[in-house]
Amino acid sequence: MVKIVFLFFKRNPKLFLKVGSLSFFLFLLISFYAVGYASFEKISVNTKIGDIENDLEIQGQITDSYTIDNISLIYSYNIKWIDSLKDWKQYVISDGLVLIIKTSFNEDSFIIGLDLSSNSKNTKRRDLTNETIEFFNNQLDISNFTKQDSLPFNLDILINYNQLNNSHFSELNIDSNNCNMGYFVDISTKLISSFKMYTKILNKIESNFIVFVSQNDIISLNRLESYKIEIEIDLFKESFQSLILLITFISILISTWLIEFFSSFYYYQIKEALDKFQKRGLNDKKQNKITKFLPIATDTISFIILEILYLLISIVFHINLIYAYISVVMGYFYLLYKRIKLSNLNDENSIKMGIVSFVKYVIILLIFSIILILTNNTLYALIPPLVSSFFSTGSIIIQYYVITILLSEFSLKLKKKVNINKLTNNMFKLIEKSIISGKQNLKSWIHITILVIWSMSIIFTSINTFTANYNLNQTIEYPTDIIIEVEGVYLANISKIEILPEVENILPISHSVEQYFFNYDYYLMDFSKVKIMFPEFVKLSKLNDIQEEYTYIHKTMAEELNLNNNDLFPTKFGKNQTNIIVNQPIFVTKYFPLIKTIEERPFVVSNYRAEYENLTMITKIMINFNNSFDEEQSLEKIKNILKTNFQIQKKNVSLDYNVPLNICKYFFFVISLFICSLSFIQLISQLSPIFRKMNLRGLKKRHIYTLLLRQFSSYIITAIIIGVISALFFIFVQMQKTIYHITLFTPIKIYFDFCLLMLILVPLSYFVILYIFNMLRKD
Amino acid sequence: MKHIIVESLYKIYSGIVETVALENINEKFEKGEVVAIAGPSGSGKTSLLTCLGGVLRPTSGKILVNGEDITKLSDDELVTYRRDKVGLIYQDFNLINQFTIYENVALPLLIANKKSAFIKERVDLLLESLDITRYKKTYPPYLSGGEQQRVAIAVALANDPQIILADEPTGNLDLESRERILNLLINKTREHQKTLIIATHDPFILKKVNRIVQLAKANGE
Repeated sequence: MVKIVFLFFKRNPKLFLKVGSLSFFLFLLISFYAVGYASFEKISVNTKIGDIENDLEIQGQITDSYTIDNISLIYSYNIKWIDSLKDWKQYVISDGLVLIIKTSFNEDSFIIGLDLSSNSKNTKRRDLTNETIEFFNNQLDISNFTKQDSLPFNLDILINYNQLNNSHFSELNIDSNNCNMGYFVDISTKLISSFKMYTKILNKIESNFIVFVSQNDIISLNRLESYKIEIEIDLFKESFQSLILLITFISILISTWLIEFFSSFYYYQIKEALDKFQKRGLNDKKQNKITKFLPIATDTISFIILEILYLLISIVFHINLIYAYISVVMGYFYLLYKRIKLSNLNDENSIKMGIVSFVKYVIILLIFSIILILTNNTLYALIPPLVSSFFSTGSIIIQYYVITILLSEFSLKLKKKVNINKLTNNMFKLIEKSIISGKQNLKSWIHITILVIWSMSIIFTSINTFTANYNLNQTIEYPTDIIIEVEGVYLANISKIEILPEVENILPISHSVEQYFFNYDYYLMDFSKVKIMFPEFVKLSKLNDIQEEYTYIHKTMAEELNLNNNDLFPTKFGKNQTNIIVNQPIFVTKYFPLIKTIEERPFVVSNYRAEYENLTMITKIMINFNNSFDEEQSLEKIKNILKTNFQIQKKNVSLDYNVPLNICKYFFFVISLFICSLSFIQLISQLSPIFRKMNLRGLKKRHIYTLLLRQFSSYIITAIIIGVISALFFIFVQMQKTIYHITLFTPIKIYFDFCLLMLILVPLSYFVILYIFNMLRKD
Repeated sequence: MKHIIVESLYKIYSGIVETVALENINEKFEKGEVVAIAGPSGSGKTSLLTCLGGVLRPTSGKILVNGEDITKLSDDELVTYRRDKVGLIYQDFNLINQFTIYENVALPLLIANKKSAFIKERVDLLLESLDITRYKKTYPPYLSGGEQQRVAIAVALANDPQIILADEPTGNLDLESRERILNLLINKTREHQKTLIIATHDPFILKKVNRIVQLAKANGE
């Protein structure tokens, strides 16, 4: 049989190449996002490696008392963070921010985090005047933590306070008998790509830490040996995460469609080619075996080639391609499943067998996914971080596979519930029936629907951000003179620049595009609650003056910011048009830079997270110069204040935080059009026999096109309406949590503009692609 | 006046090798006439029927239907001709598997924009006359060959066409059904002055028709 297979390959090299390259392409498609992601990491590391201390960013812990889970509750980027905040209390003491959180393990214990770091980058530490801080009437010795002025990381204190029974915080008695002190290492880095790099960084941190603690007698060396250093790397970060997930989803949709479309096509081509062998004496049994075996063989060869290719890339370029390997393996299994399913159709009871194997497949995927999620969430502390990241990604991808498959299958099952036996005298209903009654047709239609809904939701969220920025733009009435790009600006420096006579206005712009998605109220203190719980603490502000519609600022911070004591700022932003309303009483600390100069309206920029994690908080400053001064001289002055290199970006620019989101949005839009059009082509090619028969019975072609267009338009409109409803629901739910109350009119208007555009572009692109398709076929 | 006149009709299928399906066919068909087209396989029986039915365009020649040359009609006009004047019974039935029997029969009427009540009445009548009312809600793949054949006849007759073209219409029927359906077609033709042209080998049909047109094999199909 092997001889026959080789002979077949020899006789049909083109077919073999076609099938093989298609499989190769599919695997590549599924895994290209992972390669892209790894390359992205690689770029980051390359640019940052020269300055490793400052640019490393690893979250982790160095303690034997706390699990990663606890730490990540406080410091995680993920939802855990927000979830945990339900039980959060935040307090500001004179020397830092205290974060108190209930541990998930024991109701009676709290983790108390003391952030002693300044608002600057991680090397500078707040100048603590004393070696003790007062923490709710407790004198806490922090000398160990302030000795070292410059560290490769921030060392904050985590206190696990176990005796909560007597539990008023003002009465906490913290000493070594009832508390364990842990250390939280917060080292900044961008992304870590290769295993080599990972180990290198890990070693560096480990040695730095050991040197530090031993030099400063924080932990005796004997005890230190029992400490484990664990480092958690969150590979999906910031807005890039959504892009990655988006690409994953799109890859899955495209590859599912391609597998559906081409597998059968090539399978029958192989069968046809083998028929010639049969005529020359190949028996049926052997022919069946080879028919099944050949596509699998070509898939396997493509699979191996691609994996070797990735291996070589990862060795040569030190790129961590682990996700690419996983994606390819998953793609391979999926393709294998489709091949076997397809070849089984020839057998007796094939449909039954097909269903059984499909159900098995879905169950296996589900179980696998559940195991991965469980592993990811509950056994997080037990497995090495890299492995857990691996599981995390794996589970996300599998979940997408499962969701796509289940949605398609669910809809197919739903079809059975629809009474398609109902007789109809309506032409449109007949067209609809011809789509619904065919499994493949329905699948194509489902793909289109899911995609439209998905893209609409994505577009909606990005419009939301866009609108926030748009409104922000509207509020700035002065023309912007310059935008200065800096590595990092401390708030104090901004204040210094602000008081320069040359500067008419200054507006720091956070680098983070996520700030408008972020729920500020989690980070800004609800003063009324503090007042109830700790009346003595609130004395700093005037108790009786606390009103919900005002913004409060801590006395100390107010002084630091050169503001009047107990100054109250109206929280409404803008005059006649209220775009962003802060309707919660908020407590603005130095962690939330506050600029009050734009028409006396307070302006909160940046986000707490970026600050807290010691990322550069402000990377751009917009400055309006006073016309009576020389700009260059003014810039010199600013340069002296900033004491860092900066770049003038350009003059008279408008705010645009949305570059990544826009890229994401347009990328998705184009891909959506592409897939929708391909799905339309598939759907129409499946429907064409029906329409041919209708044409034979006297239905004119232009009527067929009208019917189709009307039918598809109604489908797209339905999907868009579902998208609108879900997106509106999403934004209303979000609004409950966020302090940004953005007027709905603008996003909805833009959203509908997109919908209209989609309605025009989808059929248009369909015809264009169909035209190209036909041209190619003619050639 | 003759109902259909075929003059110097040629149909050549182009490809790597050119195949002449019809070669210089000249024939006349009258109203109320039942004509059988006989001939060996590849003699162009089906090609002639599809040309007469406006499905296929001949390579050259004329087909005059009530004095109008259908070979000169535009695509749209040809579709209208198929819809209003011709009922074609295909050898492979050409039913739409996604539609019920009722919907299959109703489709030509729907295309012709007939009113709903009329469609219902007409379809019920046709299904009853062909003894397939019980399959009204069934889908074509669930019917036997003979039953599908009857549905195909119902579809062809739905618009009450002046010309009925049948390609081996009784090939899948049992003897009893064959006789009944053939009688139905012939009676309808004669009563309503239609023209029935049947492509067949069946000696039973050949006995029943008014005239037999014998086609010789042209260049080989």
